[in-house]
Amino acid sequence: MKETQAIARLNPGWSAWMAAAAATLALNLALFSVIPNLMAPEEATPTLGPMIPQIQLTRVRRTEPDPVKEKVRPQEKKPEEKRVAKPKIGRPAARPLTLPFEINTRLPGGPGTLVLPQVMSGALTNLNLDTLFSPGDLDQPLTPLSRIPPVYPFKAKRQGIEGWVSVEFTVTEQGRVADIKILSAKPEKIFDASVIQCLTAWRFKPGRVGGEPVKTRVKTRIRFELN
Amino acid sequence: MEAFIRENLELTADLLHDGGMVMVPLVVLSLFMWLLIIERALFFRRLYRKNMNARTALSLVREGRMPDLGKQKGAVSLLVAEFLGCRTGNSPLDRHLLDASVDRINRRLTRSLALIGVLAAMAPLMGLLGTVTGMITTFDVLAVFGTGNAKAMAGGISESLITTQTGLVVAIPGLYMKGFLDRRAEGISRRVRRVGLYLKRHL
Repeated sequence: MKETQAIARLNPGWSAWMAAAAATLALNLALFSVIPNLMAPEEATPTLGPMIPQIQLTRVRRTEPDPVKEKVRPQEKKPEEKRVAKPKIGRPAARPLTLPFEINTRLPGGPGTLVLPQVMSGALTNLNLDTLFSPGDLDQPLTPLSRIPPVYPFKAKRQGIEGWVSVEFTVTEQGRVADIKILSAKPEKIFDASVIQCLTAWRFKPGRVGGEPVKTRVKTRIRFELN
Repeated sequence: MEAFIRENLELTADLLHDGGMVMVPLVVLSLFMWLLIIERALFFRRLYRKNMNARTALSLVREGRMPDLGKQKGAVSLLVAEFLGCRTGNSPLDRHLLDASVDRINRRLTRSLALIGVLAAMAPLMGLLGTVTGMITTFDVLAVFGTGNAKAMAGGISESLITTQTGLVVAIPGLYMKGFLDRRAEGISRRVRRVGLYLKRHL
């Protein structure tokens, strides 16, 4: 029995292999998640310029009196020409304005203060993350990380067709493109497949509102031009 | 933390996707290589620690008593156990049997070390293969678009560079671990041989 034990210790059993497999998986995950970090572009932090103190301009009145300007009198006034008074017809005679009511002192007094209904309170706290924002609402403009141009369809290239496709898509919180919808295209349906294929590969730096990444609905137009 | 991990996993998935076909064998190679490396490392760790000295081994052999494998786990107690398992009592024959035991243990030690070395050396070559396929993709793009479209070429170039990088990242720690395991195996083997000689002289 001792012999078999010794031989068993030379040939590692299943448990040793399982432990090795688990450690291998963990190690490889760590290793492969290091690789993209090696080449991730450094996030450009917006740097603020030096603080410029606010300048307040105060105009100081001059103590000594202004030198008296000599008025240059126009020597000759041109004789007025062609000022013929046209008689205006149908013009109502100006009446003095009168208010057509008198203050009624017997009416009950209104509220002493004006209280505005609370509209904006808590609008940012219960921010729904599913809401779609438009690029104008974001803190910073949406910046593309990779924008691969679409493949020019071979058929269109051969026939020399140029055109454009107007698309609308959502940039998710992860910066991916989803919900691609083609709004209009000219000529229709020739470039659609190529546009959808290339858009799915685009990556953006996700838009942020108040520091939180949000979904953004973007419209753009992709042109196909032969050079 | 969770978001960080998820983001990293997504980046990794992107990487594997961007790297093209070569990434699949590269990942499999890395998994297999590290499986072998860790198995060997655990095995050597068991044999390296808690070794008995040669004198204790000799007394155990003289008394014909099996070492307590639970307490003394090292390579030397393994040798004693192996030898006691096959000894005959005939002194010249026992010397040969002792040599055979030492050989057997040494062979077991170096098992799969050569394979680890081959795998570690293969990883950068596979990265190179990915570079070549990436460059072919680039030239295909060049053939269609001409040199004007730099953005379209970038896909192929990034593919080739990603595979090269991955190959190197797999190979560098693998080669280091190969050296480490070689040194470990050599140390254990030298100890086993020394005790073997000692036992042979005093048998």
